[in-house]
Amino acid sequence: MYADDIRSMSEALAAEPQSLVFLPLAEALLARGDLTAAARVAQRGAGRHAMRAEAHDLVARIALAQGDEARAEAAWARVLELAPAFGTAHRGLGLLRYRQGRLEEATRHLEAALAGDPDDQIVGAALAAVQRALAGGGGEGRARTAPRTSVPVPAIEDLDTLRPAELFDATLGDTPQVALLLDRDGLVTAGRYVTADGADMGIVLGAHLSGVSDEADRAMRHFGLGRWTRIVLEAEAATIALSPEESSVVLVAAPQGTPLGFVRRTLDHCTAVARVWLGRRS
Amino acid sequence: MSAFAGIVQAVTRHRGVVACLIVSADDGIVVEGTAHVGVNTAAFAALTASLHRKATRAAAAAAFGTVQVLDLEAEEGRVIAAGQGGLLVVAVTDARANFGLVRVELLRAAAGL
Amino acid sequence: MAYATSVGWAEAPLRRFVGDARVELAVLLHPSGQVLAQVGFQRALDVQTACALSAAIHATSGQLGRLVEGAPFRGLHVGGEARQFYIGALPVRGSEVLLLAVFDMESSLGIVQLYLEELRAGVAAAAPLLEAPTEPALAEDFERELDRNLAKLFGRAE
Repeated sequence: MYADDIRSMSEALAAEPQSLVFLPLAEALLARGDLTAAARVAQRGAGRHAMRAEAHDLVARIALAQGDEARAEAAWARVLELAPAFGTAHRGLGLLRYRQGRLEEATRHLEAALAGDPDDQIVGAALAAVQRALAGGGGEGRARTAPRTSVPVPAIEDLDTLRPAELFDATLGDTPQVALLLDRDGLVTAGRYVTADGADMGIVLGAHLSGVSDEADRAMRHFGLGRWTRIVLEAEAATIALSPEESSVVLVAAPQGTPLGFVRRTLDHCTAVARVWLGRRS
Repeated sequence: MSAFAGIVQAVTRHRGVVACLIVSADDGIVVEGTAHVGVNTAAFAALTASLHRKATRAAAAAAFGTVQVLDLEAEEGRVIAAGQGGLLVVAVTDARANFGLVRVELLRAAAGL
Repeated sequence: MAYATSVGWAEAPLRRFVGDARVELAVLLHPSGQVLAQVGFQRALDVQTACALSAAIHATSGQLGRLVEGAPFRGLHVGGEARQFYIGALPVRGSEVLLLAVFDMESSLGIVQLYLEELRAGVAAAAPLLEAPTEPALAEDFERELDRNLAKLFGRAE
């Protein structure tokens, strides 16, 4: 795709923000490797055309290219809500589940993807590997059964039955971490942080740490680095991580000594859960 | 050469670091530093110090202790700060920087303040 | 004549500054002590007092700067227990206005200085065009005006 084509599509989108030209524009930017711009265009377009499955599919593919698997998963989940047979979403989720070692889920998605495109050799190979692993097969081509993460994400259909305080329980599992979803005033929308003696620390934590995200919003206007995506505070007794989600903030706190990468991964998973949960309530 | 020049040099030799500033934590004023052309050092100093102060108060209120490292990740770069004794070492990086290496360097730098 | 309330054009840029820099109190004033805009004060008398004192402090520190380095100091920062203040001169269209900003731990000197340029630009854009003086104002006129304001402050009638 030539630069002129991208430029003319950008101009068309700027002239008419509701236009669907954001789809080929984001695809072109993705193909060119301009992932930040592609993500921005795709997310804005998906926001304006929330009922278009292909818009969310584009968001997912760009997120995957950026290495943001959590965002990709959430976007493909939305695609399947809108269009249960959408092939690319099944393909993407199938491959992600395969990498995560969630083989039964991977099988369901890969079979659905193959049904839509029987010639997809990558999906075929992945399905064969998953089936061998489930059958206890070994040797070359063995599926990676070790999960890439030990932090489970609840199935989307379970979210509606959860109380808000329980939203992150499945994601956190038995790890000694807490997660909260805060509104713009720092009030707890979901999640909980209750100490051993029954004190609700969520209110305190939310109130103080929402000020940090406000401060970050102010700072970004002067920094020229785009929008902030994550804040991590390493304190003496805990590591606290924050990420923005629409007008809310997701907060994860972990005891000192928890590996930083693990805290960040937990934050990403909780943010994905929060995104889906908020989406179902908007 | 100031007492902090060595610290600044050690941080800025890492790939992707576009500015390294020694900042007064309370005032948000640059004490020493270096930056690529076009980097607004006054803004990074003042606002990072303000963010660090706010984070420190929040952590203290939650009984988490003092903040040793602050990492603000953005779409097109990062701001990392570590400090002690009323001073902060602030590194501004682009998206290419190896966060792990810069973080280790900042912790080493903060210990030397 | 001292103004106890804000002159319209100066209020908007000052409010923006107060919001951005998160200072508690702020006054824009003429170097003679006349208030142009204020945010955060509870009483008109406090505004007049702050203006008179700020103008006097600026005039004094300006003289000190001329003595020490041949040019007036442009800004003064004083830190207290819980609060700090900054008095600075903003060059606007060939003359200047003064800013007094009082802040606590929600702000800092660096933040105040960061937003000072935006304030200066806002004031310059909002200030009504004044006729250029045909000759420079006499120093004694300025000092008489300042003395009058200080006399009011300390209750001595002129």
